[in-house]
Amino acid sequence: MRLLRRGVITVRSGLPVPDERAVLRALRVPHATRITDIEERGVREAIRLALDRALGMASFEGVFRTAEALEIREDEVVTCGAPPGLLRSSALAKRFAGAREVAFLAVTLGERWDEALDELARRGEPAEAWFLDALGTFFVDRASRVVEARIASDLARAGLARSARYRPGYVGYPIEAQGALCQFVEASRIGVTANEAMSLWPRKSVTTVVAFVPREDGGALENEGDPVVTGSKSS
Amino acid sequence: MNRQEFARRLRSEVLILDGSMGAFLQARGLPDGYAPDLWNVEEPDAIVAVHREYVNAGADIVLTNTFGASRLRLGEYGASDRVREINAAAVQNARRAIGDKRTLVAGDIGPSGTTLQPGGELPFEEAVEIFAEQARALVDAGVDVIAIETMFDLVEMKAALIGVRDVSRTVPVIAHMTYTVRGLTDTGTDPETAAIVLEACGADVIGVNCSVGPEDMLEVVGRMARATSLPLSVQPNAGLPVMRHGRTVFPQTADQMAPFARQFVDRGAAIVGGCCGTTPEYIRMIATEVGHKPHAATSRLPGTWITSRSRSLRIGKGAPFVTIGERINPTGRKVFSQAIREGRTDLIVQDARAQAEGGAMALDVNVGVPLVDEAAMLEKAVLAVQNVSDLPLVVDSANVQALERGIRAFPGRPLVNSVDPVREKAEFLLPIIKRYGCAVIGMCAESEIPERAIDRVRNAEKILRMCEEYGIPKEWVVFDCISIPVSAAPVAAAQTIETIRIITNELGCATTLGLSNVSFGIPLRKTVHNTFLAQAIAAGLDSAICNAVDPLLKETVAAASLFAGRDAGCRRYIDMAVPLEAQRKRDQAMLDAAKAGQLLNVATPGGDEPKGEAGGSKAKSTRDLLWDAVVEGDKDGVPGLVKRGLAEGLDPFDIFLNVLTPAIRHLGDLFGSGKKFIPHLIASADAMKAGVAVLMPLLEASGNVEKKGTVILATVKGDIHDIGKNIVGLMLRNFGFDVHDLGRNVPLEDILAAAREHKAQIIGLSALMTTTMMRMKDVIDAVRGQGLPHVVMIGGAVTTPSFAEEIRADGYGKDVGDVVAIAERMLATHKERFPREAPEKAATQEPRSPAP
Repeated sequence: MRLLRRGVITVRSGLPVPDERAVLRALRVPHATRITDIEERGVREAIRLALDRALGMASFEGVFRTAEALEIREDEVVTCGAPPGLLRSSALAKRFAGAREVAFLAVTLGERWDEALDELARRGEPAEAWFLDALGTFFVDRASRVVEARIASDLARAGLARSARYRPGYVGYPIEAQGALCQFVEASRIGVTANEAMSLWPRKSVTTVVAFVPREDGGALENEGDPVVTGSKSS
Repeated sequence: MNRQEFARRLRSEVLILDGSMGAFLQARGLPDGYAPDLWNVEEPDAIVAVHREYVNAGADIVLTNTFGASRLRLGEYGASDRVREINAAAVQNARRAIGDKRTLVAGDIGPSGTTLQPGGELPFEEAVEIFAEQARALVDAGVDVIAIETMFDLVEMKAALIGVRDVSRTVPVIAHMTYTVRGLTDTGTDPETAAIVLEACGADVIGVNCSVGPEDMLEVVGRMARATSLPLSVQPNAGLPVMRHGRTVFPQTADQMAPFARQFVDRGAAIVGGCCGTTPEYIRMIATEVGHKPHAATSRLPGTWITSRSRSLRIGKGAPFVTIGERINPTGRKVFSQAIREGRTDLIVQDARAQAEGGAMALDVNVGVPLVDEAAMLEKAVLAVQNVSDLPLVVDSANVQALERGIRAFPGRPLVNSVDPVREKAEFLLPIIKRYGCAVIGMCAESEIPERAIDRVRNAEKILRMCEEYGIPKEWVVFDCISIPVSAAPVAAAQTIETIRIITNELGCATTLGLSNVSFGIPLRKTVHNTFLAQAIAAGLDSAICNAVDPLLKETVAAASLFAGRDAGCRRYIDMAVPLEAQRKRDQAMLDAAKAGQLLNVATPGGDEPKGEAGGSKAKSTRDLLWDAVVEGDKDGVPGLVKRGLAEGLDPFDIFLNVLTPAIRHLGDLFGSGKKFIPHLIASADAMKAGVAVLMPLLEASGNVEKKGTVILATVKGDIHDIGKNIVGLMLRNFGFDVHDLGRNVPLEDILAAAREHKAQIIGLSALMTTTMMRMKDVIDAVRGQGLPHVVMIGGAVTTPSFAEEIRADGYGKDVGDVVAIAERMLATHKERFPREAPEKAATQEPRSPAP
């Protein structure tokens, strides 16, 4: 039995603090597990400074809605209520095979990231901006996963599990879908818009579509290590 | 039935709750997607029939068919104005089914279907009103009990409980949260935290229903049982749901499910039923198993419990001493106060994180600055802090409106700082404490601080009597025994200690202190207040608002706790002390080595002083140290080393050409061979930039500086990304290019105009979107079409070598690692285009690498 109604739902939250290994992967340092594993002091300090800044802005807003998947055609996933053509893509249709529900979401870290990045650029600190920007990309993806996890918890009550996730601009799914997707989830509620080039503003924003299949058939994404919303530590 | 009667009944026997309604109604023709609640009016006989089956199966309590009968949910079916009618009809149907049996009617309240602020969209007070409206309809229709169920968000449950209690303080309330297989709610709340908050907000029975089957509920029930003294209630699904042939089904049979009832009862469940997928047969078997039998008791460690959304904390006798971080407070902090005046939360967030990481167990939040809208700011601060920390909070203000806003913004159970014995003030605050189920600090002082302990205790008793008037139990109160600067009143400290002793032993309440006060105005403050702290802990002090990250304080707390019975087996002390001792040994060894002269050059992290290498037998030259600093990306160390080199007589050009440049090229080679990665390259470029900044005035003053070339950089029109481009600019500048960065979303005309104006050799274009990359072609076509001399280099995540070839770019940069080499190559290859602008050969000569 699902508990969240149909229609657009807004969520706001802080982001769980990521472990250092995940941070380093996001910064394209493949082998280190902890920041202290990095030999070069300057690199360590640059990462710590960026992480400090990023954690001070690590909250997000998201909007999402779910729709029943009515038909999976060869080149399109048709859902109830979504504008025609929103999920027109052979690649996406293939990945979403068997879907009973599709979730549509938009998530943003907000304009203060743009302000922080632009301020660093103005101050002539492109290196600091690079580190912060890389973390922002990582954080907004995590934020998207947090929202997905909320949706997944609710749809689990109806016997459904996640099977695939996709984004406009991925192979075979035109970036041009971004505008329609933002409209469908009313992304403007959280201040997210797409410009004529389909770039999202604020820059640290993402849109995602997620397929849910009957539990016995799917579950491929279930153990992806969603950032747990919060831990459970009681004294 | 009132709360006492219900509690009495539950003490002696297990009551059986009914099972699922929805599947039955579907079998009787309820259309897919139609609100079952509307059938209370449209098909009452069907509802009555289902209730009757459960009554006959042995249910002691039936839930009314009103799970979705609140205003918002009914609004989805155009029935938002029929809340009273539908809920009343539901109660009537249940009564008809029961007849003259003793079965209780529980008015069922389900979730609103949306998310609540601060984490969602529906304002908290609006949610309270929606739940109150439904509760009023149910109570007026004559329910015996209210059952709030299937709540997945602690904030929403709080709103529902407050709504119900705003309507009736006497109706018994069962409050169920729902948990995932992880044992947390959808929003991350654990069973212990939920138990504490639900009890504080006025539930009479707490429990769990839905989402999972009985086996996944066992641990949840066990954890709840250790966090409450209230009876428990359990309604599992018939297993985890699966979807078959388009329908959600629950695979567990009644035979499989019923035995779990005994395990629930052994863990403290006083009410057992079933949720989705269960039928009267399941209820019959559960009733046979445990109906009207005795159950285990629940119990919780005594003390005052506070929580965040996902963490609970006990303050009281025998509990670990609780350190409450004091830093989020504008007193004596000019910069912090100014930030609050500007409405900023960055410093608040910084302090919250630092204290949480430093080991604070809770955080005091105070934003009281004159002429600031404290209510709005406290709400903002509480929201900001909970985004970065899951510690319980102490909401601290002298302004009651501010306190209420702060309390309402917090999903857990806060500790409110504070209430004093003045009735006129307490009358405003205590109803808020009661309504939101908060714990509260009782200040043992009115406008003047009593000198004697006995007078402070009298104030404490006064507070307890007032709390009793408002139905606030003494377990909710933590007394601040008042610490006064010892320099002002030397005997006051002893009275504080005595106050702690009396309140702990005779009143049986938890205690706290604002620790730092005691050392105000005296040197070596930490020694003074930590000594006092040890004495206070020995007297029974349970917590302190203090500098929770101070290492000396932490050691004091750990050691004093050993003697105060707060650290069984010395476990916490050993966990703290062993690594600390090891670290101190290491630090001492380093100090000894330094004194023995083996460490060359004083290390000052982050300063201008250069870093040396420990353990080496030969000092490195300044040139070598500078090389290392660039390769290591030591941005803070490079300027000092450059200055040292200049002071030693090194030529600025020599430093630039023969140390900095080869160092960065070496790093580039390491990057190219996969031994170092992008962050290293960028940090090194930044370090070199810091060095070039010191050298540049000298280089320019010499008049011998020739720029290698002039580059215009731009992100093309429509594209708003520029981080990578900015790094390219950094690299090119480091290598002597004159770079003009036009920013992002730059029209074609502006790019060409700038190239003309600055007589640029190179135009560098960046695009990160497939929708904008073709604008690069537009620029190249315009350059060719107008016969302009510029060469064009492109880069960006979506670009590829074949794309560069297709649009006839002169150069393509895969990443920042090769951009300088590409630029230099382009200048050399196309030098005939720029006969007069070609740079002096001397500036591009391959530098000599310094000796390793």
